[in-house]
Amino acid sequence: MKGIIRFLTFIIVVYLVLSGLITLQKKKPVVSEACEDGYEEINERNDRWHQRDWNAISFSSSFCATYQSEESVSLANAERRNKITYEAFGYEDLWGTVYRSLIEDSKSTIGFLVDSLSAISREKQLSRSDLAEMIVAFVQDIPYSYVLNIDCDDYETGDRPCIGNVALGLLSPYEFIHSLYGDCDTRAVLIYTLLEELGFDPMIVVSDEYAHAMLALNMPASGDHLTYRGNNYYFWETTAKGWPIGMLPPSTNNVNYWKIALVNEL
Amino acid sequence: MNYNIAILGLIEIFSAITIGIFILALTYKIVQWVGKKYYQIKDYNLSYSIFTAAIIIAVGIMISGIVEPLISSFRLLNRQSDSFTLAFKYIGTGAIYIAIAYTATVFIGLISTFLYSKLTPIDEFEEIRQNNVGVALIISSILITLTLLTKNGVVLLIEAIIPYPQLPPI
Repeated sequence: MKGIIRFLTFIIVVYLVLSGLITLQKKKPVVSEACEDGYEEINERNDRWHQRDWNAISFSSSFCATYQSEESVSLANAERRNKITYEAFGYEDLWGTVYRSLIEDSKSTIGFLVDSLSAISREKQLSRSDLAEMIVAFVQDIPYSYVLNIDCDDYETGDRPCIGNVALGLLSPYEFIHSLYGDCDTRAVLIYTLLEELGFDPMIVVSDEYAHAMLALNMPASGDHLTYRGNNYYFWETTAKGWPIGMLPPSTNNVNYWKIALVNEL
Repeated sequence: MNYNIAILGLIEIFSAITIGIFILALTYKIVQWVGKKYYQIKDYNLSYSIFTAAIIIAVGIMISGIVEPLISSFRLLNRQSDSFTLAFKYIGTGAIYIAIAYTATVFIGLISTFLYSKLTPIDEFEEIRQNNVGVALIISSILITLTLLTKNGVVLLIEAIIPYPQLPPI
């Protein structure tokens, strides 16, 4: 009897201490806006007006953003992407060179999105880490699509949307936010561009073994990470909703298979 | 200092200490009880102490593998519930993970003892009862080695029940 009472007391104490710690750790809910996901074509040139609605990952809030994208700008980006040339000595070096060219080319065209996301952050008084999370969640919320350098009919895509015959199997950030077609590295490149423009220290990591690309971010966090020049870059899965920073999916969790493709050396 | 990470660190430390105290005390009590009741082993038996220590180390090795999956589960559950519900879910999840790891350790303990008893013509528990330190050391080594070999598999088993978000087929 004494043992049972001792055990129950132990459980109750553990429960109360944990509840207290969790209360301290919980972030305050941020005022949410409700809007609907979608886009509409606003003229015969195929320009689009987009509305995105997405939720934060680790705290209770939803965000709403609207933007307009132009078909002609997207096509111009695609044309420049097709002309990217590269000289590389390895898998990660090759992709790093391609990603850097795309990012430098895109900075001027996606400035409006950087401004729009910063405005939301200011309005909701988000911290730096919450701003990074809001940006990653914005991209995670866009459903995954295949972007292939071959025809979609020649690849097992299941029911997933697919865009085929794209040089390098990768879209530029502007093409992505215009078409909303994005695979792993298309997403990583968009997030990298947005975060770098906002003064963060992101990294793109690639894995030949997993045939996958992912974002990593130098930010106070915990979990799976790579250390580069004394800084910890925490992995961030971007292909599906709800993945927090520092958590590698079990199917891709061997850190040794991940190589740095791109990091801001300055 | 990052406040949220500090609190997450405290939750991790608190969880590890709580699980450690609970599991190790429970294991010690069970092993002592089994030794006394079924094998009439006395407290000052050095061989049995070595064997008990090996069991405690094996349990510790296996249980250490559940802390990381437990924290992953906590981070995934964190957004969905209020503090008291989350604490309840966290303790429940922890109990399931501990049960899996503990069952695995008991299973490995039984296998190692059985393996050694089949390999040798002697009665191991009789030898331990008679304070044969050599036999205790070898059984303990088999137990710890098997635990080290199986730990990753057990952790993977636990990972399989973490409610990770769905991923597209990449």
